[in-house]
Amino acid sequence: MIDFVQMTVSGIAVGSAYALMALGMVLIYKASEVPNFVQGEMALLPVFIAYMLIYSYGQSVFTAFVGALAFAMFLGCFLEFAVVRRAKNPNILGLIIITIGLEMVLLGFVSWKFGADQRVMPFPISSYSSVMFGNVYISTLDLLTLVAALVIMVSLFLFFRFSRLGVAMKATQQNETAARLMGIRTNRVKMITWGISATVGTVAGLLLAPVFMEPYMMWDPMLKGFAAAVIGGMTSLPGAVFGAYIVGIVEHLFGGYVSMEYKAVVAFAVIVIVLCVKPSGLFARHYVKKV
Amino acid sequence: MQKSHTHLVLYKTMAFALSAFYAGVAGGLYAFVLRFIEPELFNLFLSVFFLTMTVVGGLGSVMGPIAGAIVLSFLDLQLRNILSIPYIGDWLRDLSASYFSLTGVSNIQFIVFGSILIAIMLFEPLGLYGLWIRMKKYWKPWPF
Repeated sequence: MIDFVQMTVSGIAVGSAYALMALGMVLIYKASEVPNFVQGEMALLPVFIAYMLIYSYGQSVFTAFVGALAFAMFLGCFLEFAVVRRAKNPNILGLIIITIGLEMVLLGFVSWKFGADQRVMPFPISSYSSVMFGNVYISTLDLLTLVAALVIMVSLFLFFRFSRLGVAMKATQQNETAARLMGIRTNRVKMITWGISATVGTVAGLLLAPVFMEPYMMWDPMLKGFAAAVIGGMTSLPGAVFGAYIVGIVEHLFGGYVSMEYKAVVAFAVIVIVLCVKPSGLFARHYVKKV
Repeated sequence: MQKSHTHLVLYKTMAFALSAFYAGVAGGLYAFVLRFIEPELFNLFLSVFFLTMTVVGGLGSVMGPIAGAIVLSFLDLQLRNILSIPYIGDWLRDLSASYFSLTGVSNIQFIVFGSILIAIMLFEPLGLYGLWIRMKKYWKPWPF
């Protein structure tokens, strides 16, 4: 029983990193209607920028992280402004291919700049110390991930509920033409959405970096985040978070009870099962194709 | 299509099966070319590479992907030893030594392929096939 609780807790902790990636993907899917495969690399580049700021320019960890988040905001806006917006009457496949191309460019750039060897991100909290709640251990880094994910979810909720920009984003996502007629610059709103999404992804990247840091580090979280977003229905923020926790918990339980080797695969089996039962995802309210 | 008594599900399944057949043959031949196989070899990057070939050749045409495969395989071989290309190689070596890392120089091929994908989607969504169509259209009524 303690094993079960322990594994569930670890699953939730891993799930919160996936949840951040899934949130980023859902934000962009709602704004630009494209499954965003560049999400992982939009987080990867700022993480390596933070590493460079610490080691080559001797900045403190805090400054470097703030710099990385600011750079992520800029990178997301820049990618939307310079590339995605320039596609002429794009269809969905074309946009997906553009994001895959961007992903390859950024990945190639990072691995050219930093080589393929593994690095260690200095982090104020060690990933080996842990806290004990009752009989359950949770490492402090996992705890921080959990708290950071919760804080970001709550602030995104508040942002979409109470700020002018958030409401404008919701309007753009629901009906772009009507939003433009109401005087919202939908292009700019989309650009800022990409920036926010990259920032959210970068938080996940910075929290994953102390454990494992190399140019391919964001592949796995990105695919798991995508799986989570699909489970949640691709358009619902709470759905994406819920899906991410499901993926994390199922993955850990499967790794503990069945087979450690196939732990990474089980998330995709979960997608197949969910999509067979409910093709539009668990949280999608009703599927309406925007014209 | 459904109205004209075409069995949609059957034909879609058949298309899927046919594509799997071609992929299977390709996998078998690829194993003979490389002389060794492991499951990790057939990963997502390989799929993305094939996607690049298809996009370069032209989505929705049959001859296009063949042309795309030829072009991209040639480019892939050239980019593998990019440092030995006469002038660009020296320049890249200097650039990598001073600003980038020499161990990661082979990753330039990702940058090149990614840029090709983006450029084709932005400027010529039908790839080489689209260029071919445009050329034919231009030369058909030639003197006029």
